Amino acid sequence: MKTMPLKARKRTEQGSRACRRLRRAGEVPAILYGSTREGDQTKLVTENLAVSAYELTKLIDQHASVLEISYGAEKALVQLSEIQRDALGDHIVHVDLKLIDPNRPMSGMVELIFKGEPKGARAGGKLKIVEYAIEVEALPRDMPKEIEVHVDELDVDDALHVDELTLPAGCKALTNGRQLVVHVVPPAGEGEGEAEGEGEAEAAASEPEVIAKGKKEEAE
Amino acid sequence: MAQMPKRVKHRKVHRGKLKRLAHRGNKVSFGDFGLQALEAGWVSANVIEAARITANRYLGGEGKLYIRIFPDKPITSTPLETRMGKGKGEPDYWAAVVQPGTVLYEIGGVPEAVARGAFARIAHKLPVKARCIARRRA
Repeated sequence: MKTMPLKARKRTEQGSRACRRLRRAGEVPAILYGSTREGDQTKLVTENLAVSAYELTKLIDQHASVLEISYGAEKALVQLSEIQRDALGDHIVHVDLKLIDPNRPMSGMVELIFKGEPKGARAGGKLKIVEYAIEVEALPRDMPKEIEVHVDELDVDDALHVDELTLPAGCKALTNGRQLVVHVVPPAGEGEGEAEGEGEAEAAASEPEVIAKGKKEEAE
Repeated sequence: MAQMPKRVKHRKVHRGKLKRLAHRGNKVSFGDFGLQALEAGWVSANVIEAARITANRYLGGEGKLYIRIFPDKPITSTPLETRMGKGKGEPDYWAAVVQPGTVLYEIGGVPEAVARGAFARIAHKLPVKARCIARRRA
């Protein structure tokens, strides 16, 4: 996977008010953390950064997960480990950038892209997607942006599990292999529809509410 | 049949405030597309049910519709031509409290145009403004 470049700057101001000012100015507060190895020594790194909201959104829209971040005179390979959004989900509020070693495997969630129309769907079945993303372990250069899942061959009642997916070279699925990813459910029979109707009629006849009574009244 | 709780702790509850944003239930979790509220309000059980029926009719058996809200708040009212006082009214209907950001309905297994069509029909029945959003990628 190609690493995407992202420019950042070190920020000295911290706290909610400073971050709010930052967001108003079109930037997103970010934190960079992780460890680097220099010989036998391990050095912990923590930096408060600010990145351009526009650039970051563009990269996230391109499904980038591994970024080459440059701040000041320094450069680092990072993973977008957490993206915090506002309540409506329109704006990015904060991002976590995790330092990664290019020679050590990293793990992350990778989106599944479902291709084709299942054979069973033509026979009236419905494609039901259970997992939209799986956790994958790979070297940063091998980390895929997305994994294609071809569902053309799935007939009614057929299913695909994680261990049946074709992963790109160098990737290993960390999600349980027996986890269901997608299956084609048979068409709903006429009997099921009637049963639903009956259930509704019963619900209509029942009392609107059952009040949980206190111990005192039960004793009486 | 409109939804309502099976058991409740209290028959009547306070009105509450509708000032906050939805920090839970604000993502598309089950389907591919969701209908997100942009305003706060109470959505009654009858409205939830009417919207479900209209959306399912539009979908015509395709895809799956998920309802993400549940009417768990009893709304009381006093009968017409009643004198003031005599305490709080009796429960009239059940409503779901909706905050800006709440995902109200979700649809999976249909193309975007179909989902938007169904959501447009739902939105006509809702007492709050709403918009269609897509599942956000991991």
